Amino acid sequence: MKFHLSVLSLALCAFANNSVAQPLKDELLQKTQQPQHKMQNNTGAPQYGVYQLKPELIAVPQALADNSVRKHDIGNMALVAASATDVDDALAFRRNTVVQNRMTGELGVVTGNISLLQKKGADIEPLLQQFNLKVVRSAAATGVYIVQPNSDVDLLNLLSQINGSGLVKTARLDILEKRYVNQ
Amino acid sequence: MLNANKYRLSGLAIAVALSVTACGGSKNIAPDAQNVSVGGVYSWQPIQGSFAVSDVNAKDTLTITSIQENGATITPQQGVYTLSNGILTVSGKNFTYLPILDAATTIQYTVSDGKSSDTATLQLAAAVSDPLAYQQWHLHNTGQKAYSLNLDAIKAFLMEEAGFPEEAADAWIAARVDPNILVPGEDMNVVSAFAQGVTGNGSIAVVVDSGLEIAHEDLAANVMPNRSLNMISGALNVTDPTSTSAYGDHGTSVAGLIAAEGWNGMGGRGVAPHAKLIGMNYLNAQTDLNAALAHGIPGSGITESEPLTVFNRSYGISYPAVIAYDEFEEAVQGYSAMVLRNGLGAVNTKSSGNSFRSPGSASWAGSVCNDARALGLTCLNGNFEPSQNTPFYFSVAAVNSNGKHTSYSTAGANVLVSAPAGEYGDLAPAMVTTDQMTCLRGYSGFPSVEAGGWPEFDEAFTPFNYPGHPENPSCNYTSTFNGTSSAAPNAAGVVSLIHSANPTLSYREIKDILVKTSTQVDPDNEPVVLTIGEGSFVAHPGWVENAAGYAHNNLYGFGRVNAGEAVAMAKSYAPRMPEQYISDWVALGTQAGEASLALTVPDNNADGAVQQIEVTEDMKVEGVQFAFDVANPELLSDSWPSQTTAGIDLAIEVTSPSGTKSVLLSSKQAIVEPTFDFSSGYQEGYILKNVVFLSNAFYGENAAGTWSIRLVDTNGADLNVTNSYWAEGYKNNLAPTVLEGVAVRVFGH
Repeated sequence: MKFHLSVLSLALCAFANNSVAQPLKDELLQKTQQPQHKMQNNTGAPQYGVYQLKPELIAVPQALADNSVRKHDIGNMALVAASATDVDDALAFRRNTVVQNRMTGELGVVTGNISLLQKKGADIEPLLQQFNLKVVRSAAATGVYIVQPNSDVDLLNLLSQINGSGLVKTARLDILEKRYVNQ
Repeated sequence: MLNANKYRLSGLAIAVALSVTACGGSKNIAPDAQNVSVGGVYSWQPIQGSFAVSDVNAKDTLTITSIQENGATITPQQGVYTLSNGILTVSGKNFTYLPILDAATTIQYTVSDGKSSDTATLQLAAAVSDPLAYQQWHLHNTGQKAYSLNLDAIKAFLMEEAGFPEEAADAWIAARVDPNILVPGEDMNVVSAFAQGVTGNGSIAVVVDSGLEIAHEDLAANVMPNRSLNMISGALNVTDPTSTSAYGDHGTSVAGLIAAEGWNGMGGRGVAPHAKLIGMNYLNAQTDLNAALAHGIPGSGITESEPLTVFNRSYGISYPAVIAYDEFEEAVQGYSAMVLRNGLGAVNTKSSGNSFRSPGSASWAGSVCNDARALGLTCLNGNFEPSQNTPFYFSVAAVNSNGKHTSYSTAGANVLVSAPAGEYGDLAPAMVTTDQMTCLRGYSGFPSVEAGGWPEFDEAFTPFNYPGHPENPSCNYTSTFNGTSSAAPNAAGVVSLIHSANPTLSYREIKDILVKTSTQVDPDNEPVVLTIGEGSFVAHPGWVENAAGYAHNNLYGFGRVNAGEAVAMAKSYAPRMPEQYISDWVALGTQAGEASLALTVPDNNADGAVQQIEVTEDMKVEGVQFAFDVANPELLSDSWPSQTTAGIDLAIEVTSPSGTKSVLLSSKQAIVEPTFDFSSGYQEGYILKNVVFLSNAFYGENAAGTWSIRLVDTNGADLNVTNSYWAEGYKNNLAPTVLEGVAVRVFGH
């Protein structure tokens, strides 16, 4: 047998990007799939929906990252050990906070944007003024707005206020993550 | 120049002719036929010409009386001659030739004036083509293998590399190869669309994916300059989404299926070889902002007035729980469908998923779908994903080269149509499409072979992907692309052809054409009936013809897209559809903000619980959404050491006022966690909480009347599984499942 079990992990990486994995090689390799780890509730770290805050990490632009503490990359962001930065408020959801999606297991980065669905016929301006927001992008025809606070704030607190205002249909944090995969 | 051989009149004939003249009769002079050579022949595109015939007797009517090829007379069918390389249609002195195969063709034609005849040669040049198109069964299925089924090499591999005795190798192959997998004619009828002169001109397709190699030799001519987006913040070239992966770029292969350039002597060809392409690498930078841009909102570079035809979305999330309704996403989808193209809307083709047999990558759920596999039911359901339960996305399932369901294609009432995709390209054909260029990266190339860890396997099973294949010398193409990832772009290509044939069609009219023209594949697809106690439940009804005459199947939607029929209908589409009307939600119980309906679903009982709901709008259905709150207190996210079967056991069947049934949940599916929403988390104790299911099965029916919704718990026993996260597996629910609220909303006119 000329194949090498040691390369199986690499093989998985290689085919993970294909739309459907190749089962025949696995069969001939007599490879038994180990159950994927199921994410658990843990730690008591703050949560937002399915996202658990990872206070030990912070996202910084790759160009600014210290490679000695670089743990992971998402897009052009490098996730580095929070202790190596001078970021405060590591236990709050702020821009560039790192989170982990319990469903996918993937790490993500809080972009600082909030995704809003406007109530039908409502005006966005009062909302922007009341909560000191600016519009990043919009599709006003269908009530879709991506907004951003003008200052660095605790986003969960802001989100709670927005949702409680009665001015929007839905509002949620915009998170950079790998939620979807090819299928 | 006259052909001397054409004037071999016998002496007797001459004498007869002279005597007739001498008696004062009119002299008949034989017609003249000259050799004709036709160049500029393009594969699968019709070319018109005229036979070079004449007669000095101007009043003689000339008729082409015979066509011969290689000495054999070809018998026409209503003026259509099937030649070895193409189809010749004769009308008077004119002909149309449709080259199916690329080789040059020479025939002899005979012209007659009713008394005399003459014969000459028609030479049709070799077709300008694409060297791999002859293997693209999804476009024109001749029974080709698409570089799969390399059985001699596979057998040798099994014996030499895997240590199989010869008999075992033969048995191994026989057990895995479907002898009926190659069926000529099981394709998208693309040749017919091309024969109508429609190849995608004027259409634009956006590939929302992992990337797009904009300089690819077989894509570059169709890529719109400076219109693609690299969404990774800080990207050096923001209009170049070329992937840096060494192991294949999904988006590049998807793009080739839609619009690989045709007739350029390279690679294969797309379904719409003259459509234009834009790439957006959203999957590498997934945010709500980028998702909105990838639906064409202002700032994306897409204007509301340009002919943006289709967004292809070969991605999704496969998870063994149902994700709650997402109003924000529906609104974003609605922008592309209702605002773009000056309100006509862009189509969104969406892959239905590859989870027919397993719960996605959530292997911790264990062998929860073994029963579903054995019965032929879907493990995950397309409706579990909120993106697939709006009428704005067209969910596309995958079929094989025999026209039947692939091993993996996720089913659901939300599936609109199906399209070819194939299996894995080893023991059954997959797609032949574009791959990252060079053998230094891509699905074909050294990195994938090295990472696979068993080069001999790849050389034997997928030789086209193995560096050095004579038909793929630079590894710019692959033969193993598959999944509903392939089905969606194939359907997107057909959408591009429809739009090209008639740019005034709205996205809803394009849907209407797909519904009306798709081919009913696997017509004998059998129902799956579950026995439950003394009763039974039809978990998969197979093909169901509704009251409007349209047949739907949760595996195939309305069938496999048919480019030729769709283009023909597009060209003369009438009458135009009235303006879209979206009803309000008609809600009961908790869905109406009122007390729970508290309707108990008895365990392991085919009668189930039935709730009726009235729709008063007199409107024709284009799609129906059903919203549910269904509780079971045992279904918790933290239920260690076992999980309840309540979600697995739940089946839902809806009956329309016209009596058509649609199965929203078959049971046996992998629902092993409570409903969740990304921004609010688990809805503990709920199988379904504010969950929406779309059914396309009622298309064309009248919505008004009583809709009947039946919930059934189909099982009364524990489910023994292997490899599950839960040490004690799945325990039959002791507490009954309860319907707390339900709502219905109709999209139509």
